[in-house]
Amino acid sequence: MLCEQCNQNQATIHITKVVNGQKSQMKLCAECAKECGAFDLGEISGLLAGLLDGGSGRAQAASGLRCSRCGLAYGQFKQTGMLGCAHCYVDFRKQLQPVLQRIHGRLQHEGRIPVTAGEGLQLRRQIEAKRREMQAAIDQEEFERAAKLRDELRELQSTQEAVKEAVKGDN
Amino acid sequence: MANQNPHQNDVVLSSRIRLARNYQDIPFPTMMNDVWAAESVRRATDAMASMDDADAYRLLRLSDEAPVDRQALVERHLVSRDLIRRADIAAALIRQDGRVSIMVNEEDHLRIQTLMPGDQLETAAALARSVDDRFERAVQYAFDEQLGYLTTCPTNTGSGMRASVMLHLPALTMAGQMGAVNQGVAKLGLTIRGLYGEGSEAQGSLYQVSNQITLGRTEQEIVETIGAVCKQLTDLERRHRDALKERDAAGLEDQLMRSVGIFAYARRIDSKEFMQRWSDVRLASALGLVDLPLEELDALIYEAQPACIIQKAGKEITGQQRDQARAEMTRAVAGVRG
Repeated sequence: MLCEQCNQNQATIHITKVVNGQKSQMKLCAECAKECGAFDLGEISGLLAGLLDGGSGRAQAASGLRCSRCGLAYGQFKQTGMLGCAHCYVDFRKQLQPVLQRIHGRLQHEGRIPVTAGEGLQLRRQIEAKRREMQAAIDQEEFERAAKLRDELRELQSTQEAVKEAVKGDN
Repeated sequence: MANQNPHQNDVVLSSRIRLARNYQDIPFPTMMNDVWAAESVRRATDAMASMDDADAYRLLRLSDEAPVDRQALVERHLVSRDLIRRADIAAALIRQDGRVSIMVNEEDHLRIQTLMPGDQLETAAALARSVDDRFERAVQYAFDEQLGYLTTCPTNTGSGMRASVMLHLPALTMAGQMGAVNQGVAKLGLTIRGLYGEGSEAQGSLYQVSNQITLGRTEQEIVETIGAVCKQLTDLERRHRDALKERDAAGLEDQLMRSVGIFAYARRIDSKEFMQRWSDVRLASALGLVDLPLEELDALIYEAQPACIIQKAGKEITGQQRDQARAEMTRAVAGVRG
C-alpha cells in the first residue's frame, strides 16, 4: 500500500487519531509521518511546526507574512509556536484556523465571554441557538413546539433591539 | 474507613485551575519590551487593588528574588518554571494562603492559578472564575467572538483553561498499569504528567491529569471531564490497592512499614529516596497501617524539595546538610523526636 500523503513510498506507519470521539486513520510512509509531526509529540513547537508543514502549500505561501501590529513573521511563529499579539489572530487568521482545528478539533469558542465583550454577544448566541432549535422543530414537523420557540425568539430579538437602543443612547 | 473519605484524599492530593489571559492592546510577552512588561505588571497590580481581598496578596517581582527563593516558589507550585525563566520581566501576585496566584508576563500576560487541597476541582474553578471576573472589570482582555480568549500559544486558545488534579497512584504504578492509563487518558483528549508538569518524571507515583483541548469546550465541560476521569482513576487505584492486599498483605505491609521506619528514624535522606519512601508512607497511611495525617505528608512533599530546605535554613548549605534537614522533617512528621 502506498503512502496516502505522497503516493510514492510504501506506507509503513498507521496513525489513528481520535478527536471528539471521531476516529480517523492515515497510512503514511516514515518520511511523511515524520513531517506531520506524529513522532515529535513532546515538543509543542516541533509539533506545531510539523502540523503546519504537513498542511497544504498555504503554509509555504504564508512564510513572507507579518503581523501588521507587532511585526511577528509567520515563519517565526512556525518555529516557536508562539504568537506575538492579539492582532496576530487577525492577520494570520487563514493560516491559524487549520492549526487550531488540528489541535482542538473545533473552531468555535463555547466557554466564558467577558462582560466587556458584552451582553450583545451573549444575546446573539442565544438567538442563534433558538433559531437552530426552531428550524429543527419545523424539520421534524413539530409545529406546536416551533411556534413556542418562535415566540421565545421574538422576545430575545426585542431584548436585542432594546440593548442596541440603550447603547446608542449612551453614545 | 479510609475508602469512605468524602474528599477522596486517599488518592487525590490537589486540584488546580489555570486561566491564560492577555491584554487586548499590548504585545504578548514573547514580543514585549521592558516598557510593555512594566505596563503589564502595573495593570495587574491596579486590577488587584480593586479586589476585596487585595490585602491578602503580595506582589513579587521575580528579578528582586534570589534564585533559591524563585526555585522554592516553583517547588511549592505557586509559580511555573516558565515564569522564572523570564525572571527579568516577570512578577507574581500571590495570596497568603497560596490558593490563588496570578503570574504576570509568563507565556501570557496573566496566568490566574487556583490550587486547592484534595478533590476540589469545582471549588478551584469557582475561585478562578471570581478572580477572573474581577480582573475582567479592570482590564480589556484579548477576546475573539469565534476563537474565545486569545493566547500566545494556540494550544491554549478558547477558554484558556487548564484544569488538573494531582493523583497518588502507587498501586497502579506497581501493577505496571500506567502505560494503559496513559493511553486511556489520551483518548479523552487529556494528558498525564509527573509532579512538576511537562517533562518531569513521575516521582513518588504522583501524576497530574489535565486537559489538552481548550477550544470548543465550556469550562464546565472541562472540569466535568477531568472530574469524571479523576473519579475513575481513584476507583481503579483503590481496586488495585485491595488486590495488592489480597495477594500478599504481609508483603505489602512489610514494604510500606520499612519506609515508615526510615521516615521515623533516618538521619539523612536524599531527595530521590525521599520521593520513593514518601510514596510508601502515604500509601501506608491511606490504608490505615499508620496514623499519619495525609495533609502533613502532602505538605512535606513540597517542603522537602531542595530549594525549600535551603530557604528554610536561611543560608547556603551542603547537599549532606540538606539531606540531614530533610530527615529531620520526615522524623517530625513520622512522630519520633530526637
